[in-house]
Amino acid sequence: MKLHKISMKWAFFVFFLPTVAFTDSEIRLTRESSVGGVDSTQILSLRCAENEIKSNQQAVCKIYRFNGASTEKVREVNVVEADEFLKKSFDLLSPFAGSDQESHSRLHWLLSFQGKKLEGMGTSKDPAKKQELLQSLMWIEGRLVGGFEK
Amino acid sequence: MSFFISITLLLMFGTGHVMASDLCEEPAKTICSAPKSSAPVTEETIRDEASKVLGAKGLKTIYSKHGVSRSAVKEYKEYVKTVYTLLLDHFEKNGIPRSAIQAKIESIKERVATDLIAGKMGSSAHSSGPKSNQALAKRTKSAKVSFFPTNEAEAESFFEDCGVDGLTFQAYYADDRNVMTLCPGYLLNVLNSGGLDSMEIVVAHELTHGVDAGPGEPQFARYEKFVSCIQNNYANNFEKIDHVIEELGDPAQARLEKKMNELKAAPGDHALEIVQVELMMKNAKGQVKDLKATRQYLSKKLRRSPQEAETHSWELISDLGGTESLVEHLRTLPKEKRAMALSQSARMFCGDNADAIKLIKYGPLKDDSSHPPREFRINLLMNNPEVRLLMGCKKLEAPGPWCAASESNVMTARCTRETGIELASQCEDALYKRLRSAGCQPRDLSCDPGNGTEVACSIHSSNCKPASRAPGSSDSGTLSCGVATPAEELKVLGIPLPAVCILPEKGEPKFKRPQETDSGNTS
Ligand SMILES: [Zn+2]
Repeated sequence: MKLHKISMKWAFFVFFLPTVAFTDSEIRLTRESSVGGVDSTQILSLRCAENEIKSNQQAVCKIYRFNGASTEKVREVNVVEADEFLKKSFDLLSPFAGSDQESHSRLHWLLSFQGKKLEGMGTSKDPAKKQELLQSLMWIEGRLVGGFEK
Repeated sequence: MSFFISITLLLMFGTGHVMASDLCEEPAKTICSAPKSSAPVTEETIRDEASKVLGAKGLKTIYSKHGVSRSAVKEYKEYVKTVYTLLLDHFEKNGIPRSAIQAKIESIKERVATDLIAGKMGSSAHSSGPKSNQALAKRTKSAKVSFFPTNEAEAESFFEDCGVDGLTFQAYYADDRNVMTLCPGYLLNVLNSGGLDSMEIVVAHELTHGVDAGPGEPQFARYEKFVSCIQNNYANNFEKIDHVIEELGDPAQARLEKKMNELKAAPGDHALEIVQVELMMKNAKGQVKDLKATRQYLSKKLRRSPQEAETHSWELISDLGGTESLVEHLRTLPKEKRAMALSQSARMFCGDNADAIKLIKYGPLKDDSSHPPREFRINLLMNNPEVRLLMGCKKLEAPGPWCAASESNVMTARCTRETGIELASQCEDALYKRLRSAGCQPRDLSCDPGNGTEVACSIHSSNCKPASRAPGSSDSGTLSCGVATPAEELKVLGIPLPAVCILPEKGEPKFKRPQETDSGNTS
């Protein structure tokens, strides 16, 4: 399928940039915008910053959503729950990390967990793999947006 | 009831007045700082409403119940449809029936198709066949619009772009299927931006993607002139360098070296990336003293990078389509309503994640990698001679960027005289005569009577062939356009050269700048 998209060469290039200690653990889904202009990328992120947790035992992780011009803090999540979620996400996404980076997708994902970092795109050249990946990402985004309730 | 509706409308669309003069002078600032809806419908509201409607099938439960599975995909499909239906209810509450949304989309399709047939969408090399203007117009009119997925396979790709609740602010076009997808998140944005006029540019933009890159067409063939104009003049607007430099926090030397080796070993031209990695390595070693100077150096180095300019041209071509369609729409509106319609529509260029960038410091690309910076897109729109004419914009002090769509060019003239009674028709006559004498087929002439002493006209022309063309010379070779005769009657609007006409490829344009025409020939 041919969609009108970005020059992936550049997007990937950014993926090689060094990670920094700013984010201690995070999962982030980013969609390149097609309608907007500069900076109108959409991001959904669950972030747990270690410094916040240390200074406040009650600290929580935060879920943010940036959608074009609007910013929403979706909600706060307790650290234990977030950790569990990140662990599960890590397991789900590990098989897809770095694979098929040449394929086109507006969606990319990034996961930093326990000092490890995974990243990749929202699609795969292999149809079966793509289905599996999308379902995993759907689950991850569904829990992030909809909540962790059992 | 009607009282309630009008109050709601006031709340929703109580956006401040946009002045045409502000738009002309400071377009990006005016458009992007125009107040938005004072009572926007939030994503949260829509999600809550969807949960109420769907209960156990709401977003909160789909993924806990079904985990990672096909069943979840199935329910996702239903979920997005519900979100779409809820949005339609909100439109309805604000006095916009769903039929109006459909009608708006149809009218935009019609405008794009009309522009194609009129030869305003670049120069087609084909007079028949699938890439001819006629065939593409037909294809545009039959483009399908998708608001929600209708089967599971579609659901997965829909998720990729529109997100798990469908509320990602996104619209896109797939030319293999001739389908334009408007995510519910895009409709939410339309709802919150003050009405359906905000759809003008985006919908025509997406449809134009089907014009420039359909099957079998070498990319940009139709817009060759435009693309080379962009590449030769404005490629340095598309730097994507700042974010790279800003992210040089962590040396990660080994990683950079690895990347460098990969780039050097890889086939193809990676000069641009190599320059960037070099800089990152230098910075990591503390060798970059002056970031500002380095940026300047790099932006020079990156100037006219064909890769960059090409990627952006693709989007700019679509913006041209968006602009043409908007122009046709503005023409139908009374003058006092044009500024608001333009501003609402062009606001789509203003997406700004400044907060996000601050919070997620190492997050997204600064330049979103396919679209040029918003100021550039807005300036290109506002420097379109027809837009300036319709908005009553005055001559530009400092001409901004502009490139014409094709050889089918627009010529804009402003006629000034002390007595303005017969002015419009005189201006028309003069333009027509001028173009005919150059062998052109003039069409779509429109004049704006202005204040009575000044009239501004624009005219399209195509098939311009000089009457006495030397054998083998190019069609665009000798047409002189610009100042229409007689000079006492017409004064060309001060728009930079390419705006007025496509000039001979070589040699001096036979175009006179306003200051040149000023000398003693205005009455
Ligand atoms: Zn586009």
